[in-house]
Amino acid sequence: MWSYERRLQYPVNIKQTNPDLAMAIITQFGGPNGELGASMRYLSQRYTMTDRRVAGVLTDIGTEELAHLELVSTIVHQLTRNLTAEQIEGTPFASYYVDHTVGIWPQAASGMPWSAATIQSTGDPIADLHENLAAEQKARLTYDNILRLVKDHDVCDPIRFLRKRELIHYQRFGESLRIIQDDLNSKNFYAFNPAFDKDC
Amino acid sequence: MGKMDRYELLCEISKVSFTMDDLRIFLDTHPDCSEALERFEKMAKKREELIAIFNDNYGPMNFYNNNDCTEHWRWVDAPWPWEGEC
Amino acid sequence: MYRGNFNQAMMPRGGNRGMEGGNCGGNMGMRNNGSGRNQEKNNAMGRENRCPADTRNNAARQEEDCCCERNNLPVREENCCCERNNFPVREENCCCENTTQDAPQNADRICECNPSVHDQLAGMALVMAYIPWQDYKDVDCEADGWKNGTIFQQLDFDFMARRCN
Repeated sequence: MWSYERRLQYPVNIKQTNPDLAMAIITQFGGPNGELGASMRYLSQRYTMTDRRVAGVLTDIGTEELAHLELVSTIVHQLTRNLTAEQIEGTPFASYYVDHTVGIWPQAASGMPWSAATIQSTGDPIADLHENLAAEQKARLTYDNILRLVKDHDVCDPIRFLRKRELIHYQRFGESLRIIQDDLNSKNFYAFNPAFDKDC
Repeated sequence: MGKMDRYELLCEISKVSFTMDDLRIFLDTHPDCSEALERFEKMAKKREELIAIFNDNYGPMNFYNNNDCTEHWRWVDAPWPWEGEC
Repeated sequence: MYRGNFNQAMMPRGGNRGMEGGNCGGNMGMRNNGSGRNQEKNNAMGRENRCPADTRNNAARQEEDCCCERNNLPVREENCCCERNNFPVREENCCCENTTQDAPQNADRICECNPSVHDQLAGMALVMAYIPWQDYKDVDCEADGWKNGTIFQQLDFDFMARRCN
């Protein structure tokens, strides 16, 4: 069950619009390494986790990623609000605008719509946690790429915050993997899937 | 504490809540760490006070605390978080 | 390596952290393959310059059963090249034992078949990934933690190739 708080996890107050930058940053909303995918991935995986601590990590980080997609969407919104047609025509933003005006829609920087094909929930705790470690690194590197394109401090500040969270999440998934390992026999971690083979 | 304006109060709530966010996921993997538990509890108390002040002065922060609107649904009055302060 | 403005504002906090990038110095937890060929690795581990081949006959002996002795290598001592190149001198894990080469210049290649003798993760089960456990320490106040994106200084690594502040 989810409750909503009427605040952002970190402030976003952007004074200067920049539609082209918005088209790069929108990728962390609906792109392959973005927050929507992260959230859906973790919230989907938690049901078959064998250890309650790990289910807790997935629930809490999955929830935090919802707060992050709100941050990314807010950044995109503030970079594109109040634009005029003259400011839009002839820019890369024009092709997004024609379908969405200055609405917020989950897509990658390339224009590909968000897809569940970019996430996995395998039902195998070892595989799922490795997927999550990789996902956090992909999210981190995408923020690195965005930071190379940003000059405005108002945009830099929340993006740096979001990037830092990916490192912390990586550490937590790493610890979750250690927890899963502890619950298995190290002589053969792969003897069975603890989430499926019940009587081994 | 002295009277804060809405944005200052929001920032104070965010700082305390964020500390709880970081502690929450740490505690998920270290559920018996007494130092983390202690800090979490301290933050939770501070947050409760700040939220109460916010709700009284600036409208409800959560929809489950929206219990004083006998005549008017205050939830739709205040700025939404994505509007920013600019 | 990173480019960009490496100015004071971007210096990582703390003494031990801020090891940005993959190759910014130190071994980053990688194993020393014991190869005397790689002088930089040995230096990064705080070792002396590598032992010249001809000191093997000058180094004093410390242990009777040192495998280095059997392979005609200098035995464990202050400036012994075994120690400098992180070769084991004990019987059980001695990689020197597994070679038939006795020429001193081949000592460098001795441990390539048994890299685990120099591995910090030796003993952990294979075919698995391990992230070390974080301790509860170096925890920031609310204001600093929020600004930095985490209250845990140990997890705080900035991106130094950014072009904004």
